[in-house]
Amino acid sequence: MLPPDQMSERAAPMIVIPAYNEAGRIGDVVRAVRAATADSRIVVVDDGSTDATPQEARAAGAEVVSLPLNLGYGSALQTGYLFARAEGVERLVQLDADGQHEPACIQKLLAGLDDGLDVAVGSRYLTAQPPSVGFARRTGAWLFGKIATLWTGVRITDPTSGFQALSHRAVAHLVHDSFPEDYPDTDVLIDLHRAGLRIGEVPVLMYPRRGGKSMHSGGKVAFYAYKMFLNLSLLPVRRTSPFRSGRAAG
Amino acid sequence: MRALIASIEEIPSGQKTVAFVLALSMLAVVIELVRRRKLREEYALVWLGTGLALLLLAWQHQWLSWFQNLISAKSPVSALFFGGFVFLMWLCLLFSVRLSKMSARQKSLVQKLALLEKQVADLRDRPQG
Repeated sequence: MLPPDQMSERAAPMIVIPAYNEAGRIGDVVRAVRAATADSRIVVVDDGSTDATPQEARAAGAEVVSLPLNLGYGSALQTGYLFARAEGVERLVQLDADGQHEPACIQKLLAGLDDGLDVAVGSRYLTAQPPSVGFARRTGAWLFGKIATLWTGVRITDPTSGFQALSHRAVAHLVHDSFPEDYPDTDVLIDLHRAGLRIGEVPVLMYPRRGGKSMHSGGKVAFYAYKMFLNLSLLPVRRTSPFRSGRAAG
Repeated sequence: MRALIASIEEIPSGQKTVAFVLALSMLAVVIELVRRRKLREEYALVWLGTGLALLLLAWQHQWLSWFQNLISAKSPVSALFFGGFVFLMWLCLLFSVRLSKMSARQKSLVQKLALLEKQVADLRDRPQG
């Protein structure tokens, strides 16, 4: 049996925030998360930033895991999963470092896990006043949402949402070598469903970006659509990873 | 058969000499790179094979003519270019697979390094006693 302080540490949710060059924003995000969840462990995964992101995150009270190279959003997120696994964390919440996600909604996501979900996806489109988004993003969300809904049988309206809560079972499933390095979206949700994990959506508040650069901008939108279609087409027949060298780091 | 013999005779001796020199130079460069440990044995294999194939074609150029007839090419040179193009395409694909493998391994290593650094920092910050 674990000592009481370690047991409470495991029961406390871990908030994972992947961040790349978010100096000037990350400190506010960490403080807002701390205000919304007093008992949580806040972990910023610095994805090889070239600015003061790790220093600002640490100064705001977060633990920081620093990747020596910029690996991409998905790999930074997965590093958070690996850390959570190593720490034996039971519940994990992920949110973006750019201030788009309202930290007050973390409790709603965690309540989704308490209701039996393994993956509670925060949806901006289930709120009374969804934020206005660009045409490409809206079309993509609609299309991939429909695909995810058809595949999983669960209504998915915001498949690109990075604001999610995950149970330890879901985290354990995602620490494999072939986890997407850039966009872990629809294909990951379908993969989780295929693994027998329960997925559901929870309405959350999201705001427009307060600066920095979106990973769904410019030519990346076309690449995102191509990659998602290829991944989804091959999902039923794809091997986990041909490059498996034991298990993923951690 | 006559067409085959005619096509062999079509290859001028100057071209044969150039082909020999190129093939031997390539083999020499590959062996030197392996000697200096700048090229790993497994990658050298494909280049040694290419050099030997070029050498064989320069020596026994009727094989090139046989290949020319096989693919219905107009001249041995175009048959050689076609063969070279297919070979390079295959090589590019092979290297893309290698790159994918290297990327996956690099990601795993970088993640592990970051987690170990965090562990070391935590141990260093832990109060003594």
